[in-house]
Amino acid sequence: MTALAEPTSPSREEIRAWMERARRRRRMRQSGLALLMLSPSLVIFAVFVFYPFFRNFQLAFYRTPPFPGLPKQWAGVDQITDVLGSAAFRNSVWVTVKFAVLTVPVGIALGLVLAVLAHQRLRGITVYRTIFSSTVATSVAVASVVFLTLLNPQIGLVNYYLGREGAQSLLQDPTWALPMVALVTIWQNLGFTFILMSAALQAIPDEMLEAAEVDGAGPTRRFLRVTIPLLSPTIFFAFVVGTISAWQAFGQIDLLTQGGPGGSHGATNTLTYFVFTDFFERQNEGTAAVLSIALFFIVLGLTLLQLRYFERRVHYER
Amino acid sequence: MGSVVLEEVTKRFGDTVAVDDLSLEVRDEEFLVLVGPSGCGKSTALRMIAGLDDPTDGVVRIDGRIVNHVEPKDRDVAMVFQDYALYPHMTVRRNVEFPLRTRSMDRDERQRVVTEAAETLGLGEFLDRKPAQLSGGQRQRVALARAIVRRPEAFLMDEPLSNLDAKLRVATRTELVELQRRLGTTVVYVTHDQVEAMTMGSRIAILNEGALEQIGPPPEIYRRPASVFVARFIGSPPMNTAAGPVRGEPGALRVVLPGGEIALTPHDSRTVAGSGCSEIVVGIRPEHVTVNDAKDGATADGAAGDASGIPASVLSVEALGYERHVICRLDDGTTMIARISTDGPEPPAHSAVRLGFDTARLHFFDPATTRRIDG
Repeated sequence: MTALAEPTSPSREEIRAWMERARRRRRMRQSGLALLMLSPSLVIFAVFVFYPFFRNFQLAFYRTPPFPGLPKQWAGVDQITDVLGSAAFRNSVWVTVKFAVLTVPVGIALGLVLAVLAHQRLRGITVYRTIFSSTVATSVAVASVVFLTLLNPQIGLVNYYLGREGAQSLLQDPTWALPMVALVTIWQNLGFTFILMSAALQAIPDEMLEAAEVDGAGPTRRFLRVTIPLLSPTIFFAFVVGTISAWQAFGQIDLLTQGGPGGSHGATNTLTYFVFTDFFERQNEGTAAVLSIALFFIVLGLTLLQLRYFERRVHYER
Repeated sequence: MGSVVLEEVTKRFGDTVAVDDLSLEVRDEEFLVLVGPSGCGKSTALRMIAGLDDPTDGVVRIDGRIVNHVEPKDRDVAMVFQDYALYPHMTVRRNVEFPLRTRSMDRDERQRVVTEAAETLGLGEFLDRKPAQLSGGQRQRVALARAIVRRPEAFLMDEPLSNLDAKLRVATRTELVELQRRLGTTVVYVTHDQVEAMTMGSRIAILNEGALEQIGPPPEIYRRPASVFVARFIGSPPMNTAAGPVRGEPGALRVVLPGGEIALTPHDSRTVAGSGCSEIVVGIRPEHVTVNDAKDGATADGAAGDASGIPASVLSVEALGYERHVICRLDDGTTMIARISTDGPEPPAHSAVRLGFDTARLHFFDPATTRRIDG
């Protein structure tokens, strides 16, 4: 019988090295698994977001030939300065700014008012809650068609009540076209804003408002000093999301005015709609690319500005 | 400072009666505790005093004035809520001065009052923090500070200690009573905790199913509970109760309990005979029950006892260190708890014992009305 070799106990350093190796193996295995699980969404993002995004920058540097089939010409930054310096671009940015200013604050204010009204504990209040939130279930197309009918010069109720039957539709009036489109947008978004504000209102403990009531605050003071600050994160969220969606508004404009009246300098020719017509009607993918890049940076800049300057006034404490 | 009076107040929510014909007087500078199990209407009663709920019927008076139709803000009461209801977006200072701002007190005066309140409650260093940065106990103090800056007619407190941990709760109990004495204000304090009620209240009002069972100073409530409900609600472990028919001569009555009889004292005999009840509910506090050996009647802690007690079997023994609770069962399944000292051997579980009652300390209740029978 041979004596078994005395097993040498590993040194402290050996143990440490061994554990380090094991840890590294485990980390590799875990990140491998993570990548595997992320890959489906990575592929989808790559195909539909990352590739088009970077391809857009490339397109922006080439002039699209007047006839299909001719070779594209390298234009460098010339095309970019041309487009950004054009009156049509300035018009569409200005139109979109007006559109956002008309839709976002009014939409939030209305949603908040309706949410506060529907927050009462009254018999049959759920009927109102359903009505107020119902526009969530309608599509932009449905909303547009409803208002298109209302604003129809011959059969529309709006012209009838304004006593201008047969006169041109407000949608063809350079002054009123944008406010009308904004109106449809506000109406369409109201359900979402209402639900958002209602949910936030419900999250405010009743005790907090009752405490304020006992402490001597009337309804206005309670609303301004307690409710509004406690809603501020939601209002801020609605503001940021609303601004982004205003800059991306498309459906209602396409259905109601096609950017007009006024062609490419149209009163409702918002930036997104301008990109659309540039590409699909004028088939100029180069200028459309420049416009869409401009849109991207404007929205990015606005959002950063809002985060920087407004978020300081938001109370997240609970 | 003022008194708070409820006169025949009823509050219904749809078909449920939350408060049922409640009449109650909270005297000036009194610490009155409203106590009862959950759903007994105590919080609703408090909310009606605050003006947060309107009574369906009856009158609420504060300092003599009928306030039924007075807005909460004009009632001059301050309320401390269970979850404190601090405004999370305001600093402690802003929270405390909120009631002063609504009264448009000028800046210097406000500053002075807030500083004073903060000093009283030891909040000086926290004035510029937000509630989220404070511990539960500190938040509770902020809620108190917000109430005291007003110098209101009355403080209304709705279970203000229930979110504190056990140790802090005991300490705060004493501080609250001390604070009330110093400020000399009327306090209406709602709790479900009978220990809080007994230790804090100058008087206790016990509510059950919306109605007042009894109101009085804590010792009186404990010594002379007005109903079976009060007898079993106040005291831990609760009072033992058992029902049985009454037998014997008017001067020497006996109550027949499962497995045995209790001979009443001559005084009690007269009382019970006077009530005319042929059956009666007997109540006895656990500290007035002795656990005796089933055969020789010796008490658990060794003293010679009587062999005449009621037979029972021991279910379990809870040793609390300073005393023991012996949980027993009578022949018919009625549970009886004896509170005995920790001297001597512990009665083993499932053993047969005889329970001795201190017959001078019995309570009697009418089984029909559950009210106390008094001589």
